[in-house]
Amino acid sequence: MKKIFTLYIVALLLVACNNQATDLTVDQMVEQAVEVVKTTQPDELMKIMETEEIFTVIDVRQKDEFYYGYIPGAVNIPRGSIEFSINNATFWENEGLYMPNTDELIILVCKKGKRSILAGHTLQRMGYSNVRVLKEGWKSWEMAYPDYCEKNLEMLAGGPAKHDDGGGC
Amino acid sequence: MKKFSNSATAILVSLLLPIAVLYITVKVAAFKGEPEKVEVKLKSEHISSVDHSQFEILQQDFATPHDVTAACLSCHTGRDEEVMATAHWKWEREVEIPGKGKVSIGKKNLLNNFCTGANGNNGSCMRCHIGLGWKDKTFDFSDNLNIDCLVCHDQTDTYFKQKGQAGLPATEETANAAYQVPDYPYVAQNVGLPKKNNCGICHFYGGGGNNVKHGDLEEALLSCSKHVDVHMTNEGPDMACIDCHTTERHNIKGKLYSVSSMNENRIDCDQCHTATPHNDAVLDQHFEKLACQTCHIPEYAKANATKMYWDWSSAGMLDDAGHGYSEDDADGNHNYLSIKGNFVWDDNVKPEYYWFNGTADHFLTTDTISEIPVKINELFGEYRDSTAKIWPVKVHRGKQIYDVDHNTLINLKLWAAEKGEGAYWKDFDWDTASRLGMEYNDRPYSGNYDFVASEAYWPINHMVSPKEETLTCTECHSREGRLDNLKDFYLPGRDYSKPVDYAGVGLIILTLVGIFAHFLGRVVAFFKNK
Repeated sequence: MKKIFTLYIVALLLVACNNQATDLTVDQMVEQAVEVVKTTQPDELMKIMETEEIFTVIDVRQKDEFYYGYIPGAVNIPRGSIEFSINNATFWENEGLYMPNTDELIILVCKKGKRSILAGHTLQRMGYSNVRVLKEGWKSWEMAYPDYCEKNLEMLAGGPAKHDDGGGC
Repeated sequence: MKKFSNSATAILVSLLLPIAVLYITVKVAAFKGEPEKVEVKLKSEHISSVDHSQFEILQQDFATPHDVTAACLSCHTGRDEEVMATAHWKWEREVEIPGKGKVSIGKKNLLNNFCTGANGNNGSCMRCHIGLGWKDKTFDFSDNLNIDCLVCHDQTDTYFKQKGQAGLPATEETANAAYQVPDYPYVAQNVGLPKKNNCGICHFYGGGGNNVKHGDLEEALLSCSKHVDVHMTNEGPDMACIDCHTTERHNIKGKLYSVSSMNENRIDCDQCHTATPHNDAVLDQHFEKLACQTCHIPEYAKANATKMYWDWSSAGMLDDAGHGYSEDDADGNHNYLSIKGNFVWDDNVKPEYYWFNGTADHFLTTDTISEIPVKINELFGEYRDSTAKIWPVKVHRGKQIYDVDHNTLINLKLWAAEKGEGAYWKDFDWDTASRLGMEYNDRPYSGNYDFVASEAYWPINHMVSPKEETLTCTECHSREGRLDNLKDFYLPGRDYSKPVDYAGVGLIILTLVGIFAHFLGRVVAFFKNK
């Protein structure tokens, strides 16, 4: 009887210690990720781009978001495939880039900073120890450095469209 | 036995009492009362006491909108004088600006960093004037038949001022696929208090498109979820603009903060909600230094994006055929237009926060540039100002054209019906557009221009969130929180002093050591006396 009681108590403690929450909302997941992933401001990222030699800026938005506007030098790996591409030598070879080591600086970018924080959390669990996320994402970069943005509409079906409606309200 | 009982009681009390005190303290601190409920009669629910379709005078075949106005005024006598006394008619008002004294400001002498200014672009911009045909300086502001009654009172949603016609509806000559001649008798017989879209036709689309300017006023408010706006949602009270912007003799309450200099004729939340609506003393105390909007509008542009940045200096690039073109951002908003330059749009935007006491400075056309970025409208206020509160603000940044020699912002001639009239949007010639714009505004132009950074401040008032979505305490009371830029006061949770922190922690440790020493002393004494 005493053994059964001891086992019951141990089991109870194990369950209590397992804090892997389930049924989380996306906001709760983001909040958890914010606790463990470092963020960086646009001016800090600009400083890194100007002074650091080894770093990789990864934009985790979808391709049809990325080509409409991105940080110069950023490589696009949509969040859905980041786990597969991050250490896939063929991917980096095709991009013409050097594959980042797990201890090298990686800065993740998305539209407003939520997808990238989740991606950052994932990369940390994969062993990447120097991951940062651009706070408020591409939109904060676009506002901070509107003259230092790139776009590649050729990669999209559309591209520039004729517009001569004469303006006005 | 008695000794044991006393000891047990002492131990129980010494254990239970602190727990009870702690429990009660936490419970009291965590108590949140239910907010006060508001019971108001909405003006938009007013049912007209007359049926305008029964009036013979409205059953005629009106040839022009002026004829409709004449018919309106034949019964609604004196209303023309009320209308003609308002800023909606005059587009200017006399105000007192600190440092500038009494000045008359309006679209005649104010500039912005969107399309820069209305004066001189009448064909397009005066479409949002409540008059009929303010096409140039010859417009007669004393002629009451120039009032457009229908644009505000139409209930049929079929009456529109035509694009490019200086506020006139389409005629037989100008009608096209987009704008037909209004059915005047039908519209005139179906008039009433202004609905959301009567106001929205101008206030939603200012700056050249939906939600360009305000960020918190846009067409989504016509039919939105309560997440977008708890007041205007059709899931709830479905309030119209006039329910808050109540009107006496055509004088509409609640001036737009970004273009008004004096703190008068305002609408305040506490008119309905009182100054202590939370049923929670701590939250109610915030009313003293925080605008309600600060916590209750955590984000704006919740449905459609708003323009955050406008760089005029990149305008004018043409395609190989010499035509203007557009490019979009990932959300489908134009982020380049040959006629306007580059933009940055954003949605679900967190506001910036400023002290604001309701008064503001405005950069007048006669002002010279003394700081960069140029402040189009500076909001006054600081912590020490007892009338100032922290407000959420949309800041619209950009680069706009200015006269290098005179050091003044330039009024541009942007719009014209045809090419060759010197309008930038047709001919892409900065120099000609500047010269003609300045000439129309009776201002000097040196011929030497460049572009300068500017900022315009738009206090946020609409898109109030449901109470479950209001700001949480730590959004502000934390390091790198929302109020990080306001440094002129002490904010608990944000501001720290190392010596004070060390002293506090030291006191806590000393207290704990004291309690433990006391406890040990008691135990030793207990066994010693046994």
